[in-house]
Amino acid sequence: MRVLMLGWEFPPHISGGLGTACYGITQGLRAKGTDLVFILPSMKADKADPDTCLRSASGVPISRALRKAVEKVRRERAQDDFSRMLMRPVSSHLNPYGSYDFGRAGIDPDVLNENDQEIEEISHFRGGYSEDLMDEVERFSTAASAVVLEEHMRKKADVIHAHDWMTYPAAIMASRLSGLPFVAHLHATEVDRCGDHGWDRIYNIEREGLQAAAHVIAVSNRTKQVAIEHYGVDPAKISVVYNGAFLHDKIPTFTVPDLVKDEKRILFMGRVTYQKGPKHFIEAARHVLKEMPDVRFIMAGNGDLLPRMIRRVSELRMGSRFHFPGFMRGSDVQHMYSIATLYVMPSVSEPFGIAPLEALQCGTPILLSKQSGCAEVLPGALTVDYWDEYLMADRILSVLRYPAMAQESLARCLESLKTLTWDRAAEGILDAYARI
Amino acid sequence: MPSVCFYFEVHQPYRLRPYSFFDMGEKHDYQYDALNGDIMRKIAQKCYLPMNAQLLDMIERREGAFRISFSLTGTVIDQFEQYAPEVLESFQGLARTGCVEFLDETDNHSLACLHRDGEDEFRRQVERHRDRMRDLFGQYPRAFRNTELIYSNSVAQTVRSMGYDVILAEGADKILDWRSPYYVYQPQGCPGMKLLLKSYSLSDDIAFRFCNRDWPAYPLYAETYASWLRDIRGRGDVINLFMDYETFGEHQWAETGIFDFMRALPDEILREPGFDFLTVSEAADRYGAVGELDVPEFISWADNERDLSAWTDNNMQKDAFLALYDCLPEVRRLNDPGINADWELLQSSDHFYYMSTKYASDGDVHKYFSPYKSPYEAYTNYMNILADFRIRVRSMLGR
Repeated sequence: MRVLMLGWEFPPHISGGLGTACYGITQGLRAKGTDLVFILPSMKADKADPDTCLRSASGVPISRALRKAVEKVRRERAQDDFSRMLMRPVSSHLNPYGSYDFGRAGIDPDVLNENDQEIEEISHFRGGYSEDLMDEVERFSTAASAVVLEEHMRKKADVIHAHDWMTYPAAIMASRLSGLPFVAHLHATEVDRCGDHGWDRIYNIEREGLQAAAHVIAVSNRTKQVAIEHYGVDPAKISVVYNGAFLHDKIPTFTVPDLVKDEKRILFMGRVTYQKGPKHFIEAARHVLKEMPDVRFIMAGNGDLLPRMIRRVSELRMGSRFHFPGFMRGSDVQHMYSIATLYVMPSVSEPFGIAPLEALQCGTPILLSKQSGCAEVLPGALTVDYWDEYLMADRILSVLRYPAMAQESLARCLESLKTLTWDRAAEGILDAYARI
Repeated sequence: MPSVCFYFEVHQPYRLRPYSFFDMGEKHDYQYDALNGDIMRKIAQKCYLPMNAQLLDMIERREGAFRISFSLTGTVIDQFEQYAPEVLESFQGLARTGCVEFLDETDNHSLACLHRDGEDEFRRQVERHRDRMRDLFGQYPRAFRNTELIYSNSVAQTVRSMGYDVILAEGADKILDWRSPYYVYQPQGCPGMKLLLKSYSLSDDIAFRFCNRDWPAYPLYAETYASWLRDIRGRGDVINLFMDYETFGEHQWAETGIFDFMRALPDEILREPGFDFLTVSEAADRYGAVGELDVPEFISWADNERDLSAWTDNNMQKDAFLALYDCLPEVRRLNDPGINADWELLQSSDHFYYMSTKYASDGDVHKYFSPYKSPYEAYTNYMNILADFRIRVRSMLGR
């Protein structure tokens, strides 16, 4: 099995939650003997890893023939909105002769004719999420296609696997040009991020990608449901594959200063955005502080809602009990989890959520919103509807009052954690490939 | 005939260091030593030392005809001692001329007068300042100026009961209405006390507009400015020019010509018969109050609003202010020297000024002075420090 993966993040080049998941997936698949190439927009030169399957789409020459082919596909797609359904490529591993039928999509065979490698441009990407993200996503579709075709030529591939919307246009293009089927991996959607107030342009890219994909992998049943309800994806072509946890060999011990060793700390850590439900955490804190005025609350992270959250806390006159340490990096992350009495993830919509797995490993009980995908695999976790701020406060108070209950929940979660491996995730992904 | 009162406010806050959540309960040094030292040494070179030398020269040359008033916060004095002792010596040199009056204020530039339980705290801070003036300059101030010229009837009454007979305030339009700032007034309910009001237009010509190239009067020459003062003849007793001392060389760089302007100004003014310079208490002694002025609401010299909105406008400022003074009873009960020192530090009005979220031109002024990237950072950092402070106080009280 040879997989050409398209992603936007990969540690250490760009590492958010998506990058971490992609890393786990590639590790899991390679351990199972999968031949895998991971293509991302750009890589930091100083962080090159010799034993890597990574390929950067920056610095890839785009030939005139490829440019013409890409334009042709775009024209066709623009002319016929249903083209993606008519043109669904045939999986190439069904081809017994090993010759790739590039002509199937009506593409000029010169694309791969070595005699016509007249270079039109060298692609270059900044990577990450800058102002010109949309532009980069669009250009990535050409450059990534070039890499896919080159890799496919070098050694026959079986499937294109694309992670989240940034890479779907590239996957559609590469699939059309190569004839390889493509699998869309759904880590998060615009509906999760922004509710009903998302950006149409991203939603449309997601919808188009999910519709065009031969198969869809969702990170939870919750996400599968979102794909069905909000994106009209056929349930039959969706597999649910849960993320794995990166189990740390050893969590450093962090000493708590004597003066504050008896303090109770309730932690929110994540992007301070609509999706993560920071406002519900603040309202719950307000109810808790009425009952137990000495509890300390922490909202670690950055995001567009941070100023509003700070203003709200000050308006409630809670600033002396509610802290905003900002974005945490490096060992500060584990430090923060370790000293917390409880980690709360009140996400409004969380496809999976890796942060609670980290909190658990630092020995911290978790309270999840029922709208979090990872709650499906952590039956021992405390849960609450994100909007039920009173109940959230009640759960927090229970943890503070009944430490034995919290420890029991933690122990059960840690049991579940053991089964959440990237190996298991890789098995699920291979099953999904087999269902194409 | 009209007397000109120059009064300069000298202050530098102790900026707080970036204080992380993880520092709470462990690190109790709140001052940003490196930054405070750098700023103090820079301003000493650009402003305090050259301007003090120039004023000393101007005073000596005119044998008593050029007289000025100063107020130095305890906070700035501490930093002189720490980072630039030569500045303090040069102020002592000015004091020895006999032509310089030093005023009292809250020692730590605080807003204690704004809290309902803050009167004792306020008195304590003023008394500490009074002791400093005696020890450093051999003066027993009769005149008082509150932090940022915050003033109301109640402030005047408290200060009066402490024995002061002169107080300064902003000549804000909303309290003057049809009245003129060029006369001496009596604070409401304070017989025998004199109120001097800042002529904000003439003061701001020097303090703010001097270097503004878009200002029609730019470039301003001493001769022109003196002619504006002369126009007041016959319609006033005092012209109160109150401003931050850092105007000279720091807010207005030497390159703008501000030093030359000030060097030339006394002669231009004294050339006109009947004009002279007085310190604030001398002016209060010479001129009678023309009437009582009722100021029920607080005013100040800050921002366009000339009210308290620079420090207590938004919720972050209010939350921080109330949380701070929540500690008051415990701090008093504890009465520990280390805790008391930090308590003074945390009360400086500057910390609240940095939390202002005002926009437009005043926002720029707040930003200019702030060591923080945003008012949110100012608030969250302050609250971390305050939390640590509280933890210490409670633990020392055995709770």
